[in-house]
Amino acid sequence: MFISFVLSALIVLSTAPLGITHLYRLETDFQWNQIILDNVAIQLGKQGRELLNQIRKVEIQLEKLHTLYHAALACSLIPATAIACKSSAHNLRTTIQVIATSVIPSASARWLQSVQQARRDLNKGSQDLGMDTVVDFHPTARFCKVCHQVEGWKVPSKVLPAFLFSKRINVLKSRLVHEKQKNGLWNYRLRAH
Amino acid sequence: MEALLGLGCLLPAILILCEVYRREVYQVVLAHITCMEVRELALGESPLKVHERIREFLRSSLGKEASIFWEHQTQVARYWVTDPQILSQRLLGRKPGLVSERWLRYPQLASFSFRKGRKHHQEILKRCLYPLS
Repeated sequence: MFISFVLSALIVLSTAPLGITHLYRLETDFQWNQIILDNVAIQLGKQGRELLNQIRKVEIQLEKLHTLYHAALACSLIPATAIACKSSAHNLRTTIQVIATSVIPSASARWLQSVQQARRDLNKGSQDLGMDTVVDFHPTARFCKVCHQVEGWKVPSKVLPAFLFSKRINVLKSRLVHEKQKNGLWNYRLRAH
Repeated sequence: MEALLGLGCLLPAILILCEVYRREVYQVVLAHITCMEVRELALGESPLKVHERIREFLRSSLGKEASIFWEHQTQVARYWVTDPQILSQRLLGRKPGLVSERWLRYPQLASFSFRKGRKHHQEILKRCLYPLS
């Protein structure tokens, strides 16, 4: 009786520190993964915001060029200025097309790079962290109804790079949302779950 | 006689161990909810939702009755810290941010004499900072 009591007490004495150590390790892992997720989401949010704001700047530039292009087209109808205006319109149209075709592929490539970096950062954690959803960055072009040239891009909320991160432990989640502000600029919000 | 002596030594040892184990578990749980709360509040979650989530977590980790006891026995304080001196004093790091502080007082399994009196309760204080810079 006494020996079994001593033995059971010894078992309790030896397993209790193991239990505590395991508990501390779980908590440390949780906090560490949380920091990684938050940092990755913040980095992606910043890059996404910069990207969208840059596209907005190009859009403003395109709007100006577009106005000039319409003016050049209008003045090319006047016989006295037709030759000069035609060449000016031609140059403007080429510039618009170059900008329109180069902006989105480069932006998509940059976005892809930052996503890859985010994946690398997530794999630095002690556990396998993964992104639940990854939305490709492909805004659609908006065309002018008169001249059919690109005048901007549609960035609907579904196309936005909103990422959802998750970890295997059920409570840990970070979500990144991009929001358009009143001044037309984009910002991001990191949501807690 | 030997058995009684052994029992007399073992029982207090087990009691102390249980108390230590309980304190450690409480420390981890308190640290977890403190950090969870400050993060969610810093990221703009509504306090009501955060409170609900903490209650849910306590219920799942400690049980229904213990969670009710915890809710009554914990005191919470939240504040912004930007002063580097305060940050270093409270061992919170260097970056300014939102701090959540939780203080728990719970009765011990057994009381013992401590500093010219008897100690009946344990106290745990946890602070967690969510840097916002």
